Amino acid sequence: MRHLWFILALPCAGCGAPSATPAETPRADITLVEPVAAPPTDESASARREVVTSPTGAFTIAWRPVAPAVPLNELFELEVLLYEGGGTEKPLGGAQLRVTAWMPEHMHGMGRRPQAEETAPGRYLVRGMLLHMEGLWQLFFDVTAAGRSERIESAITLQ
Amino acid sequence: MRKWRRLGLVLLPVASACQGGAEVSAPAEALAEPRTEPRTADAAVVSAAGDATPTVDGFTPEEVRALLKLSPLPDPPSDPTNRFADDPRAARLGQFIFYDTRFSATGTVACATCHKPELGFADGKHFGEVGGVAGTALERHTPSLYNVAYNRWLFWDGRSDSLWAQALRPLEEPREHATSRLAIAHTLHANPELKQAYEATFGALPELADTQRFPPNGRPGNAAWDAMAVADQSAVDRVFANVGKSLAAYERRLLTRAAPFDQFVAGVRSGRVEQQASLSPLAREGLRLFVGAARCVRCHSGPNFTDREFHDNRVPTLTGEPRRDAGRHNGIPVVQADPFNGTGKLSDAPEGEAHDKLSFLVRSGESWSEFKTPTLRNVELSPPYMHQGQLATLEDVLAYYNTLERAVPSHSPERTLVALESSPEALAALREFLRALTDARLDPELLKQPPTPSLP
Repeated sequence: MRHLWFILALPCAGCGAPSATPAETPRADITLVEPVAAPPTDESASARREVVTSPTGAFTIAWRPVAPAVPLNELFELEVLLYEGGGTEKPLGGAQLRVTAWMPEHMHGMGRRPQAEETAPGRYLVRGMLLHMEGLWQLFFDVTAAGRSERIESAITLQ
Repeated sequence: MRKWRRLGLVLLPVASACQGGAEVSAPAEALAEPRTEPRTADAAVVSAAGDATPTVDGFTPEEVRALLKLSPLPDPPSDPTNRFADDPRAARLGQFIFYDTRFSATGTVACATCHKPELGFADGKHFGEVGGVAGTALERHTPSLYNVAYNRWLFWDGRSDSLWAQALRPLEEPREHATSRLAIAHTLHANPELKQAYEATFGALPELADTQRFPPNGRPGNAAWDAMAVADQSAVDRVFANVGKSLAAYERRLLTRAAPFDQFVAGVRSGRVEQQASLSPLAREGLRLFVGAARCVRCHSGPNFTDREFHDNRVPTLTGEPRRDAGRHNGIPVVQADPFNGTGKLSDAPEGEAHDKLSFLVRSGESWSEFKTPTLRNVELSPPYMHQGQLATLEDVLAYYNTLERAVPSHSPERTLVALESSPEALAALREFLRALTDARLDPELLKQPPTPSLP
């Protein structure tokens, strides 16, 4: 399975509203910048982490699938490392993390609500992801910690 | 390569007759080892991703890459929740029961009453109905059983998560078999042939001769059932589940995956132009549209031509009345509460995949009136189409998708569905391509009740 990986250069429409779902904040006006990571070519290799900072710089995540690649139309898990601030020096434990996905072209989500569990300080395992169609999927990481909530957006194109 | 070999083994005994398409003359071995054939240097282009994409006249490299994803269809996925799924003895018993009317209240209804082999394992009616049991039809169209082993969810609304759990529901449904798990257990126990076949696979039946402990008829909600000891209820539930597992083992064999289209794709992979002739020029044009401009492949994706999930295609109801069938919206809580689901006591693998499949489902307004995407393999064999059989022919289906005329408003914001706005010629090409997905050359022995419920 080949993937095109992108980071979205977007302001966050849902910042400060952690309960908002992608259905309530669909975005069709995506602007993509250059791919930041090549697709994994070695099935045995781990996928590279995508590092994204929230619009205000309050949180940074580094996410990757637990499997070597995100599969099309199969359940998979994400590993998310969460950091305080705009870098990757200060792991942030004890946060609430919610991950959802949305196809802006088709205007639908996964039909699933994945669950995140903190497995080590600042390290979260997200179970229950399933992207059932080819195309661009927006990934929304809603982070709540220390009384602050922000949405971090990333994306993946499945082919 | 191992899967190619397995596919070859399946294809070898298949007769050369071919319904619904150009005659297939290429040897099965060509399908079995497609990549061993020499290919000329100019027969492929290298994609941006670095992989070689064969060239096909009239197709763009993107279209070729898309069509290659649609064939071959590999072996069905395993079902860890049913450890008998690929047990030949269970399949034999399941096939025997599938055609046996004794597993019904009236003695007149079998699975094959609605899933008729000669009608593509469907019934040709708008709504499923067996007649004479409760006198009322079901609210949905009987689906075909071809390639049912590949489904992630069963029923139009996905209210079962395995083939064996699905098979149990019609047995106790008052408008279908209208029998009960206790009656089924007694039928197995009372018939020496059935008893022997069951016990050879699943172990000893309970002490059903004791009708004080095991009344002749009953299921949850009946007084006779509710008065039973919990341990005895559990024993009968296990028998009931095993009947479902045997039916599933049989139904997993109802495969269609060697259509003219598959021959064509094998020809594309091998570079054998003569093998590509298994698709007519019109069907090739339909294929090009299917993976391209018509966008059918958005939902009818992968080698079984389905994304195995749910969509609202906004087809008007059969009567023209407002839609009242919530579809997937109501299927989700039912499957999660089903005691026979993959996480239940009678599942053979209640953790892991079965757990994850159910646990993260979300019931939202978006899923209202969504129904499962059906496979398109052998689709021409089981009209009418859609969950109420609203559309009588494939031409009607294509005409609907072409204009979306009369499409009803949806609760969902989903915009996957877009009118094709194609010419009559394009629709005819799509129709011809759909015909090229037909492979009805199932082993004739699978189409009828075997002489005994046990293997010789």
